[in-house]
Formats: sequence, C-alpha cells, structure tokens
Amino acid sequence: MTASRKLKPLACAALAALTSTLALTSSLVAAELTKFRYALIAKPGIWDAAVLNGIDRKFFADEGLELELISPTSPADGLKLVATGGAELATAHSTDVIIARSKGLPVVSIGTNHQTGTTGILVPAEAGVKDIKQLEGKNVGITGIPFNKVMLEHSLKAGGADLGKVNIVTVGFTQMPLLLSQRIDALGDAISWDEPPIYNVQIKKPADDTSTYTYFTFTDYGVPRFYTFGLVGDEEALKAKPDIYKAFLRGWSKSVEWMMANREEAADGVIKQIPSITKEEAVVSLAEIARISVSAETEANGIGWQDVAVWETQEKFMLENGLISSDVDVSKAVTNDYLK
Amino acid sequence: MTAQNTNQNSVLSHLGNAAMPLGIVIGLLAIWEAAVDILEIQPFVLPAPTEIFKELMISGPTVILPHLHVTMLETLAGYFAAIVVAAVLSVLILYSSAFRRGVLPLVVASQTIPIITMAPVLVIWFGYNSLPRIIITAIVAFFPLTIAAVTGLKSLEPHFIDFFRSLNATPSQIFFKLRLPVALPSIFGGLKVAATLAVIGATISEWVGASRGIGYLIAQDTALLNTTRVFASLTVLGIAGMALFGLVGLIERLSMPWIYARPTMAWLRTQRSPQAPAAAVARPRR
Repeated sequence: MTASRKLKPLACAALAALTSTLALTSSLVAAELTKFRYALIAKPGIWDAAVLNGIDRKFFADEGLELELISPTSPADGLKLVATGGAELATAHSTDVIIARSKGLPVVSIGTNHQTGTTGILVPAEAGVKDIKQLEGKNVGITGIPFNKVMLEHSLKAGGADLGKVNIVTVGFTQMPLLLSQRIDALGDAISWDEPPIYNVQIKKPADDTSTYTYFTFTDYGVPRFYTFGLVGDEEALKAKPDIYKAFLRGWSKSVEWMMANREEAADGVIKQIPSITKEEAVVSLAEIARISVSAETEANGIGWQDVAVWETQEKFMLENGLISSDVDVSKAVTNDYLK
Repeated sequence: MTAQNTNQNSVLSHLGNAAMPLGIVIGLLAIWEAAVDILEIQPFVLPAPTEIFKELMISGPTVILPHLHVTMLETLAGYFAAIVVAAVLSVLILYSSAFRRGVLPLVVASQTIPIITMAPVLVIWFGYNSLPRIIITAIVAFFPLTIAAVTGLKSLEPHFIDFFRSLNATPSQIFFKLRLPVALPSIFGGLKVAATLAVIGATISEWVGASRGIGYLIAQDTALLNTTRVFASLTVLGIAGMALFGLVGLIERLSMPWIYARPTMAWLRTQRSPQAPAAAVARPRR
C-alpha cells in the first residue's frame, strides 16, 4: 500500500513526460509540413479521389505538404481564391481558366486530372434514341454551365437536329431526379464517369451496365478535345514558390498512379470521406476516370501533361461560340514546367 | 403671401428630406470608388461603381431588363399568392384555437427550412415552368405577412368588441369595420417586409430549373466571372425591390387616411368616414 503510494507520483511524472515528448515530437513533425490550401471544384466527390487518397496515404505529407481542402460554391470561386491569394491551387476546367484569363485573372494550369472531357448526352435506353437527331421533341435537361450548353447545341446541330425542336431546359444540379421522375427525357451535360453509374445504381442495375442508356459524347460531334479538372495556380505565386507546387504535383502524380492501380482501395478511401457514394458506383467511376487520366502525351511525359495546341483549339472554339469576346493567349494559361 | 411662404417651406423641407439619403448614397459610392482605385481591387472581386454604371448602360436595356421582367412577374405572382395564403391562415388562426395550435408550429417550421433545398423537389413535382418558382416566392413571403396579420388582428382590446356588440354589430361587421382597420398598420408592415422577401425568393428560385430571370442571369454571369454584370443585375434588382416596397407604402398611405392625412384633414375625414369608430381606435398614440 505504501509502495503503491510512492509509485503513484512517479507513474504520473513518467506519464506526463511521455505525453510531453509525444506532443513535442508531433508538433516538430507538423512543423516540418508546409500548409497548402487546395480549393476543390465544389463539394468533394469521386473526382477528388486522387487528392483524398493522397492525403490519406500521405503522398502529400511525404512531399512535405499538409493539404487544407477548401470547398468553394463554384469553379469560378476557386479561381478567384487562387488569384487573390486565398488558396495555393484550385481545381478548374480549362474552359474556366480561359474565361478567367479573358477577365484578367492571372491563373495558370500546371497539370490536369483528365486528358479529355467526356461530357455528353445520356438518354435512357427505353427512349429508343439511337441518333442524336432523334432528340427533337424531347426535353433535355442541362445544369446551366455555359460551356456545356454551347457543346450541347453544337453537337445537336452537328448531328443534324433542329435546335428549335429540342427543348433544352436548365435544371441545375437536379438532373438525375428529374430524369428518374421522367420530367426530362435526357441529361444534356452528363459526364461519362459520373452520371451513367449513378443512373444504373438508381434503376437497380449493375453500375457498369452500358445497355441501360445511350451516350453521345460531345467530342464525337465536332467539339474539340479539352482538358478537365485541371490544377490551377496563380502566376505570381507559382514564380515565387515553385518548389511547393512541384512538391504538390509529385505527391498528386503518385496518388493518381496509385489510384489507377488500386481502384477498389481508392474507392474505399473516397467512401470513407463521402459515405453517400456506393462502392459499386465509385469503382465504375474510377475505372472511367483512370481511362481518361492517360493519353499518348502522358505516356511520353507523365501524368498531368497538357498540350498547348489542345488549349488553342479550345480557345478558338470558345471564341467562335461567344463564350469569350476576344482572343486569349493560352500559352500563358498553361505550363508543364512544374511537372518536370 | 403667408400661404406662399408655407408652400415654399414645404418644398424646401421635402428637398431637404430627399437630399439627406441621396447625399449618403453618393458619399458611400464615392468611398467605394476610391477604395477600389486606391486598393487596386480587381473587377472580378469588386467592380467600381462607375464600371457597374457603364455595364448598366450597355447590358441594362438589352440583357438585364428582359430577365428582370421574368423575375418581377414571378415576384408579383408569388407575392399575391402569399397574400391570399396569409389572409386565409391569419383568419383561421385568429378564430380557431385548435387550428392555431396545430398549424402555427408548422408555419414556423416551414421557415426554418433553407428554401433553396426545396427548389429541386418542387421542380420534380411541378415541372420546369414558373409554378415552382412562384411557390418558392410565396413560401418565402407568406410568413412575415401571416405573423403581422395575426398580431394586428389580435391587437384589439376586448372592450371595443363589447362596444360593437352592444350596437348589435354582426361578427362580419366587427371584423371588417373594427378588427381589419385596426390591424391595417401591422398588416402593411408585413406586406412591406414580404415585398422585399418576394424579390429575394423569386431570384433564388431561378437558380434551379429556370432558363430566364435575374437569378438565372446572375448564376450564368458568376460562372463566366462576369462580376460587373452580376453587380449591375443586383443594382437593378435592388431598384425593383425598392419600387415594389414604395408601391406598397403608397397603397398603405392611401388605405389609411386617418393615419397619414394632414391632421386637420384627418379630423374632417374622421367626422365623415363611416369607419369613424374604427379609425379612432386605430389612431396610433402620439
């Protein structure tokens, strides 16, 4: 009893010392990491699999970065944050970067998640639409993203449809419930890796069943190839701190490569953060994302590589369709320097 | 000569009343303009008032006004729907304690729901026409109106009702000649608050399921980083909201001459008015 009393203060002191040591060690480890504010495109989703898993698997920490994720309300807000120093990097489509440059935002894309945008029209199979022209007389719901509407109208015209006979309705991001409740006949700006598996899960079919819908990809109808889910920084900040951006891209590249090789685990990593996504849906989405994350250019130069010529063609397309009012020098909007 | 002096004084007084808010607005705009210039704030963050004015001149007639037309039609439709709903609810709440206990908590609960989350559901129920937007506008606007109407209708002291009953007044006479005139100041307070809320309701409702309207235009311009036109649209929307508020205020003044008319004339009207007892009751304490 007496010995126990004598040992008690000693044990307490040892415990306090251990706790202090642990706290000190962890603070030293934390101090080594550089804070890196990363604006997602909107709320986190399956499209953020590389970043979410990269944090979880310490790909970024290994590069000395501690990511702080920001969820802006729109892609434009992410770019504004970057341009005003509110974030180091933002996810944004090449379209948004070109529009931002046209408005004077000094933003630069330093890498891209997807080598090609796969936006298109999703029509349930039972509608019997085999040709884009057959969308005449149908209600096609779109989110209202200006570039998507331009691509849709371009594709409809290229496919021989009379635009005046297609009822294009802006429905915001409520497309899927409207499609399922048959308020609309087709999704006018679906993405191949997002809506098809969601649609299948909702109608109780296997997520990878492609017989349940018809999909018309815009790039098959004359819309030029474009990059999506790019990694965008501020011109000055990139020049001032090139090392942290290179470190980020190293961690991100490792994470993308790991994700492509371990889709099941990557899906689990996303579901851990976003439990509303089903495993089945996530795995199918990631398979498609993995497909479009690579191209001949990435095979030669590495993940995230972008060709300025692709940007130039897209800029021309945007100018022709009134999304920008004057020429934008896209050579300043994109660089591969930080991937090297 | 004295009358002329009085008129001149009155005009000067009115000018003085108008000059003060105008001066404040001009002062604030000048500070805003200077701040944007001195701090070199980029237009995509905060455009200068002069830039917004230029944008208004360019886009106002051709782009913003056609969209405003749509929004204002939805605003007015939703506003009138809110008035009808509030009128029915307030009377039922006034006369039925069971209804009050059962429905009032639901009415309050309806206002705790972020209305933008209801928009997609309403679009699914009613389709992508104006109806969901009118319903959203009405939901946003009816609550202050209902509460104001109930408060006004219940504000009558019982002995006035006893007095009317002693004169063999029917329940409808008590309502229309006593309760309603007494409640009018409160009701108009609610109508004015609801007018501004209706504009907000119509605008946010256009974020989902709309292809036209100021809310739609703002969403499009936000995506295109056209911040100057977003501010220009907001300016026009603000003016439209003020106009609606002013219109309700004008109707209020015309509806309650016993409060807003000049004191000498009010006395005369009180003598002539068939609503004299109610008007006397409704006269606010000075």
